[in-house]
Amino acid sequence: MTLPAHAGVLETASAVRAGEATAEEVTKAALARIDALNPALNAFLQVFHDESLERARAIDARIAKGGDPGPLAGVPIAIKDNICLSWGKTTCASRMLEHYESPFTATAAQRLLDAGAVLVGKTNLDEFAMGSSNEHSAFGPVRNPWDTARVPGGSSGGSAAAVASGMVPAALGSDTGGSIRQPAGLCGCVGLKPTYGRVSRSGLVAFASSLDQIGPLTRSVQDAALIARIISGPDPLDATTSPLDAEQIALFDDASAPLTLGIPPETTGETVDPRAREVLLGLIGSLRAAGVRTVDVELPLPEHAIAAYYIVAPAEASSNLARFDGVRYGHRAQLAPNDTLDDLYIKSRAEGLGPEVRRRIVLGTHVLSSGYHDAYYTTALRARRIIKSAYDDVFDRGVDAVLLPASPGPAFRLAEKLEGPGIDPMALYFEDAFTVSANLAGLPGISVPAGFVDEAGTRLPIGIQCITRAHDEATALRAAHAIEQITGAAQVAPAGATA
Amino acid sequence: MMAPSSTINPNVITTQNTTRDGLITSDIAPRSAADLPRFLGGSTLIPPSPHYHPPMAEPISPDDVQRLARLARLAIDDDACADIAGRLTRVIDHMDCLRTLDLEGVAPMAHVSFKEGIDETRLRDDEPGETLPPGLIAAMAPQAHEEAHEQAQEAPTETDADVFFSVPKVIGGGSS
Repeated sequence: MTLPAHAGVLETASAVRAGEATAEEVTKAALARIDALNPALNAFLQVFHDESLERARAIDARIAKGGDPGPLAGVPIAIKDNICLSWGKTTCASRMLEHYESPFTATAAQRLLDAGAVLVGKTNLDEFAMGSSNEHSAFGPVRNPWDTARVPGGSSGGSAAAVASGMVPAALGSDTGGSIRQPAGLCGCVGLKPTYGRVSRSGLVAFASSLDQIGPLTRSVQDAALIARIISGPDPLDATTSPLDAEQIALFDDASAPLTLGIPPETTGETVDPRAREVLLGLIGSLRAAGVRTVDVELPLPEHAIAAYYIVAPAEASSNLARFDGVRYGHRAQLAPNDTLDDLYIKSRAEGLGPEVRRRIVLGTHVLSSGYHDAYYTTALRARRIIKSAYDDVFDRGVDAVLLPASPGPAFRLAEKLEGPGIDPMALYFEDAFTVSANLAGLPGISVPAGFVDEAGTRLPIGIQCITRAHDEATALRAAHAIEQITGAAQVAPAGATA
Repeated sequence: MMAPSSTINPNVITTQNTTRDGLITSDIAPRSAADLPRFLGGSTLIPPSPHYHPPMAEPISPDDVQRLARLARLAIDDDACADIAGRLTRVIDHMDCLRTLDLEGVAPMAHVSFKEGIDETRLRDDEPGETLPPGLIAAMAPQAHEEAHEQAQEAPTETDADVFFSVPKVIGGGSS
């Protein structure tokens, strides 16, 4: 095999297609690295050793017969465990679905399979994707591969850690309020949330249906473009999918094309960690020096977006998670002889759902309940329109992409923002301060490494995101690529060597 | 063309340089000075907009949590109710900042629409398509698991439709 270690998606597929490496060799290498690193990182909840090798051999056999193995031939890809596959389990990192086996495969995952990918395992997440640190997983937290005492972000923390540590060149995540972009930022990889409706949600376990979107995590902008293009496009199984051509999603690498980036004051404001602010300011300076035009823009403040998001998302979640009742699927409590149907619901949900999920269901129930619906839910929906209109105005005035941090600071220590005396319950929610507005407005956003801060000798990545018009992933990719040209390709994390 | 330092959206109300005290409970403090100064320092909460006064930010009591838990079919013990009440009161307090936005006349937006004013409902034709076999659906159910597997193997099409989800007796109470 001539393929270098930690080859990207395009590089791997090209080598397999050209016969320079076999899918089996590539898959074995990925499985070996997963087996070596996962005890320290807990990024994977399941690894499909046998199924992956079987599939890789089938791909090699197809190539041997002269068939087209697809644009992702032999590329090992990890799948966040709230995305259904027809084999293995789909747990959502919840006791509720600990033993759940999906009868079908999600459209996005099926498109990867159809393109020749090898889906090597399911990655850890915050339970039902509710969290920003991966500490809300029922199966233990994921560790950040740059410093295993720190969180990888969330909720797609397992996918981000798997990609950043070089276990796989790509993973799928889901992003309801930043769950692809924030962990990508904290782990130093690329994470793309496509426009709402670009990628089918069929087979994604619903959290907040008007916000949820599947997207890729990779180590390069080009790889993110490739995966996003393959998984996008209309799907009869999801009526919200856009009929627009997914071929629009591509990295048009034209360095001479003018680029205008809008920078709100919050991007380098006092809510951002001072060391991260230095990194972001340095990057913006380098972009200007490279000929990128920057303008100041004003958008609704992150605290408004957070307030609206933490009304809308729990409201939708409280409704979506009503399906977990111990009857049709998931955990069912042992009942006493005279227990009623209500007892079955209540006991099954109490045993199956973790504390943060229960809190969000209670919050969602509150903001939707009689007497509070208008004050909270309807108010949030009005604020949501204002946020979308503000972005529309910015883009209508000639801004190609808005630059925002991927998170307020670098990865924090486990338990630092979780719960306990003196810890503000809003602290963890503010991790999403710069990401939720893209979900509320349905816009595409891509997080890309901006640089590193030094934390007592440990390097911690800082991410920056580019948000663009709806369906204009191409410009988001172009802006992210301009940043990537300055910062260099995403580096592979030491993954436990610092533990 | 736009001046490099222009403010692009004058319609958005900002909360800079304004203060409001008393909404954040005093026993909750950031862990360090660098920890979210603007969010927790009081500068984000300002007097309500003259245009819009939703009745927000009533504290949530443990009894409220108990009532909400019942509505959501959740069992939450008393200690957890007290903890959740404190947390949710803090979260709800933060939501008060939405009062600083001028929302009068703004239509609620429950989902994103990229074609304003156009009926973009994309309903498919009402034609029967492939569905998962009932036996497979029942196989996911915790109570019907074994029966459904056996039925599916023995008679994949005829008896699959006869599988049921098992629940406690609904009418007349009693055991399952």
